[in-house]
Amino acid sequence: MSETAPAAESAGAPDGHPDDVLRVRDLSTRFFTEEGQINAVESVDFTVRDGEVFGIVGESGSGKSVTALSLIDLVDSPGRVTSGEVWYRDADLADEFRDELPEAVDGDFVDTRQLPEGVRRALRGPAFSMVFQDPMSSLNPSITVGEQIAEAVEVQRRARANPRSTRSRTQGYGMGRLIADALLPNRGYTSESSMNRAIELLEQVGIPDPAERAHEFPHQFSGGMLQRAMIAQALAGEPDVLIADEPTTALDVTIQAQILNLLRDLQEEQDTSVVMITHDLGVIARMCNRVGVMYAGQIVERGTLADVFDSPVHPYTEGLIGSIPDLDDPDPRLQPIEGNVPSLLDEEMGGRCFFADRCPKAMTDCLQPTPEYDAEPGSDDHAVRCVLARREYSEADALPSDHFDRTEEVRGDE
Amino acid sequence: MSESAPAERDDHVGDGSAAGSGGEKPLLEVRGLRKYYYENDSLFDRLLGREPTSVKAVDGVDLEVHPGETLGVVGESGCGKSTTGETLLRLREATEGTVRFDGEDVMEMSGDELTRFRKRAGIVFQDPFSSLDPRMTVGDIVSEGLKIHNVPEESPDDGRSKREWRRDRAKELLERVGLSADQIDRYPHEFSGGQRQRVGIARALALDPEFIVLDEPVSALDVSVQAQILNLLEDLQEDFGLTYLFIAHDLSVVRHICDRVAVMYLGEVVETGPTDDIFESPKHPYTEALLESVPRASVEEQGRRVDALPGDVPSPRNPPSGCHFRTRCPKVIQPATVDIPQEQYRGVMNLRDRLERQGFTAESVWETLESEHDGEDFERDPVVFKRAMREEFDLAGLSGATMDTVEDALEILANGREEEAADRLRDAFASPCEEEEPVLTGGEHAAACHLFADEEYDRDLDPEDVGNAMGGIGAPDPSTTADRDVPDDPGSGGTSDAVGSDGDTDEPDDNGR
Amino acid sequence: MKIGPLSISPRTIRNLRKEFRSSGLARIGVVLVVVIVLAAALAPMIAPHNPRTQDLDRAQLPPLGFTDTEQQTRTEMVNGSVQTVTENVTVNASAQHPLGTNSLGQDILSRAIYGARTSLLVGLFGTVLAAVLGVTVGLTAGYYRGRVDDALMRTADVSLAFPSLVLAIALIGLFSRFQADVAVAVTDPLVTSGVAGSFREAVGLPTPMPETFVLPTVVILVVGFVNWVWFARIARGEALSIREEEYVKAAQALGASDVRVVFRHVLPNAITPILVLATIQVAAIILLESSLSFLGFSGTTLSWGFDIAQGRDYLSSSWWIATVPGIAIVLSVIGINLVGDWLRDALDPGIEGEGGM
Repeated sequence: MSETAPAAESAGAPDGHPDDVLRVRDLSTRFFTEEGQINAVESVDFTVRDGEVFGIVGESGSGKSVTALSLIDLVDSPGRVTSGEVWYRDADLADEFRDELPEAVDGDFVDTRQLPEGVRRALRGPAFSMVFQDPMSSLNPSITVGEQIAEAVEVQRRARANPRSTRSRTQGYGMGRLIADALLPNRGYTSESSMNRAIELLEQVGIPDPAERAHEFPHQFSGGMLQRAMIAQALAGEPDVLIADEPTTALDVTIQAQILNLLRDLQEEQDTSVVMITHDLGVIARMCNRVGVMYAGQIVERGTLADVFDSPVHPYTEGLIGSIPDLDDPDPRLQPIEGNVPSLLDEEMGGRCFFADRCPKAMTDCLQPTPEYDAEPGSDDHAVRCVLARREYSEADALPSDHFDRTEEVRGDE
Repeated sequence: MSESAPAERDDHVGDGSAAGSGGEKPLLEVRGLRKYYYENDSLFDRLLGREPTSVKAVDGVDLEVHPGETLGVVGESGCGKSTTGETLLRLREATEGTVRFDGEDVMEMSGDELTRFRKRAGIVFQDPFSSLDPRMTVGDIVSEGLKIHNVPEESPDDGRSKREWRRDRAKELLERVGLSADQIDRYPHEFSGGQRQRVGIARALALDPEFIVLDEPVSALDVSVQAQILNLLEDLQEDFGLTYLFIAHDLSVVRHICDRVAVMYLGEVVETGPTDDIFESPKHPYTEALLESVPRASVEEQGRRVDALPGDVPSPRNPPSGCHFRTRCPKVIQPATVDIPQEQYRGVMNLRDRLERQGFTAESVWETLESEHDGEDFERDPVVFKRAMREEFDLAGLSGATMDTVEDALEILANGREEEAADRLRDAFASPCEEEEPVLTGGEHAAACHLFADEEYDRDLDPEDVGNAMGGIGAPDPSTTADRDVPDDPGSGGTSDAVGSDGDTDEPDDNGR
Repeated sequence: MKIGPLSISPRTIRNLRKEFRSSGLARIGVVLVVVIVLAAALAPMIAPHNPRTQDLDRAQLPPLGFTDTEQQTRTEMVNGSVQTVTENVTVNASAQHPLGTNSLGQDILSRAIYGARTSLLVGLFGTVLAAVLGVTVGLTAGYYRGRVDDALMRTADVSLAFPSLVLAIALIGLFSRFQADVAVAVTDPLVTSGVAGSFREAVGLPTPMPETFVLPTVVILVVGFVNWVWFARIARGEALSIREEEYVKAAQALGASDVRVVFRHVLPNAITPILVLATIQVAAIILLESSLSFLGFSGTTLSWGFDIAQGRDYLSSSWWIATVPGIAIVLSVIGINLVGDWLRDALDPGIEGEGGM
């Protein structure tokens, strides 16, 4: 992807690889809080190919989780997706809206952000699905695990019968029926066949004794088992894109290995694309084909695994890799990135490269907003939001090391 | 740096050299430490006649830390590493065991002795968000130790009051850990996680300790901040000649900062030794599994097939008999009377374990089978049952007597008699690993595993078999396999050798290991 | 700002202000409470009359704006024979007694103002006593757990088994058995110093106000002993969770004594729910005191509860005798509860950095 032109042009889906299933352009999410506007996600571009695992790596405050939530419209007030396009490839969907919303359709791609909200929500399950970090709080503790997965299955079944409407999934299931079902023993929202499918899914994700476990409650499961159950629930709708937000962060390393194996296997079997969000570069290396590195709400570098690990251009990427102790070859001294993560408050962010105040190679060029450049000329994959893609670092243009201290003093910061 | 440190310190501190060991008396010696939490132990329960059950958080730990070195304690959640750290500082009362700090038994200390100990041994906690009292300023937090111990004992000569002196010292400490002295009156919530952790370190340093327990000090921090803090800790160790007990679950961090490492599993130390030895030639199967599971941050990692350790950690309420790791160990030792591929043996043991822990009923298997044939008529055919079991537990390919035994047991199981099936299997397949608890043996680099304790069990296991037993497919990474072979093994030429012995497990090992 | 071990940070004050501005109910509550406090504090200065002064000629006057009809019987000579005549006489209100008078001719408004004193003093002192007792017990139980916890909390449970009113009456009975005075007469400094006198002269209000004021000490003690349980429970819950916080372990690791840990670390962090409970308790104790006075157990007659008891017989005719103190109680309780809500909403930690002390 070449330099992003500053003017917003929605002339259809952005260019990309023929295998792309998802193309995100200029996505921005803001939080409007009492303390001010927080720019959580800032003009993010990336693509996800069919059957690949795309990683988004960043530290806390980088905006990676909010990006994931923005993709499937789960951002809660006071946050809002303020701009951007999320082009999703689905030929049937495209046909359906081609006449109604011509600007939202381009070939087989549909810009989900321009679709009506109900349709967007209907995409959750069959198109997009999400696995969260803490399985214990993602599952209802008062309903058995089997029942919850069966619900997801049931929702998908009804949706398939009536694809574009969210009403059909729960239509006809009102208060009266709820009370009746509570009183009469054998009725319920879920049917026996959806429960059976739930047990099947539990088995597929490697939970032993699935029939028995299905009747247990979340607190009776271990962390690893719960996460498997979450994955089972996420796969109930057979989605095209699975978004995994730090799926193994809360797990022990041996359990993490199991879960990552599972994700790999399922992804290969069902040809699902996965967006893997994590702060752990090791997990990225194991699972992902292509990676985006996020900092302060922006993707500062993206490319293949080799691009990012072996030939990083952005000093933040370099710094990140340099701060990790190597399991196999320990360095006597780590090279941390000095300073702290910046505030994302709109008023405090200068119109400049957000990393400049911590960058060992900051130059005067960096005091302006930096667009995305190709890391190597003509490179399709490897893009960097850094002037170093265009020119060499030179002392002559370097910013003095206290440049930002002064600016902060002037603003009366602590 | 400190003017007030009482004279006790002079002959206790090491010279700050790293890897101290061998010959020098350890600063901290832990022997047989146990910490059990008893449940069902209130008056009511006694009245109702309930037996007190115990959670064996720490179940017999031996450790040594030499002056000036950093000993790492690694393990996953539930292994008892944090409890060990807190118990050896006497923040919890041990159920059993001794902890000698500079020759004195910490568990027996009281009153003044204990107070003096508290000045010499400090702790830094994991969670920067809960380790600082949110109602105190950072300056108060750092100088609280000074107030408690009435440091300085007398008003300083230069006219400052004691309080001023303490305040100055707090400022000094804040600067030393990389914060600015003028933040002394700020509250914790005004700092980032990394900065708070620095405050916690400053607090631990205030009394000039010799020994610091670091309980997962960087686990809750971002990677870039983690690096800053690790560097800081290393610098401080050198400047002040500190000795560290570094508790962590992140192996890369441990590799980076520790001189020696102890690996814990379910309340016990399973392996201990110099860092490089442990990471490059691990002995204990659990250590191997841990190293195997850690994802490396490099391009070579892509698509690596990891042989993940199956199953979950057993509950510390009811740890497996003998070696706690036997329920998941890919190298679990077969009894002398059995000689089947390791993969199948592991499968039988898994089946046994599930049956014995009652997490498994024949009924649930039937239900699963029924659900697979959703909608069709399903008859409960034992043949189908057994086939499903064989598939799930990797039991195909057995022959001879072992096959008969297994088939019998499966038949019994299909009829719903789980206990009987378990008994049948136990009679035939009981492993030495479950009968005897292994002890740490091996000198500098010691492992608690029967594979190393008794020549009898030193079977040269085929790496591919072991790999399969862990549930993975394909050959494991060659660099770790080579080191799985037991060094200095005189008698092994294949599995048949070991089986030829007379089954006596108590012969002393004359190789002096 | 520090009050002993408790420090009120600027953030707390900011949160309180913010909540005050945004919540109309908070403002109402504060106004009500301020009114009551002022009434109680300045009673001798602002009460129109001496609340104890009886004037039987002016008994049962209605409040301003109302008229009352009374049946009066008198004997008369009609045509030479003695007859009893019953006629309806309208009784008009008097500006001198804006809220009317009771059956003894005492001014209702003055009695209401003085009643505020009784209620507030009992409420405050009773709450403080209950809080000190309860928090100490609760923190100890929560911090040490085990047998100590069991023993202390079983005592609390036993105490809770009795309805508070019944328990209070029983305790008062016990006290009276051993001690003659259920209440203590305290001199009123505003009167003895002459401040009240000069103020009233200047303003033109009738003087001599009572020089002593009856403080129902036994009620205070009893109320403390009945209500400590609520504080104990909250304090125990807080202590149980706070003791697991790492900063508590850190203090122990530094060698702090248990007392220091509890008072320096656990208590300040537990204070918010305790404070909120305290405000609610003041209201509850005021109600308890009113009930006790109503039944005549409190040892003072200058109390809202007592006045309600007095007016009970006249509810259909001179309804104001019972109603005015009743409304006073209602307004006080509402006001205090609203203030409690305000405190709770402002001090609720919630999200990091927002709210909280």
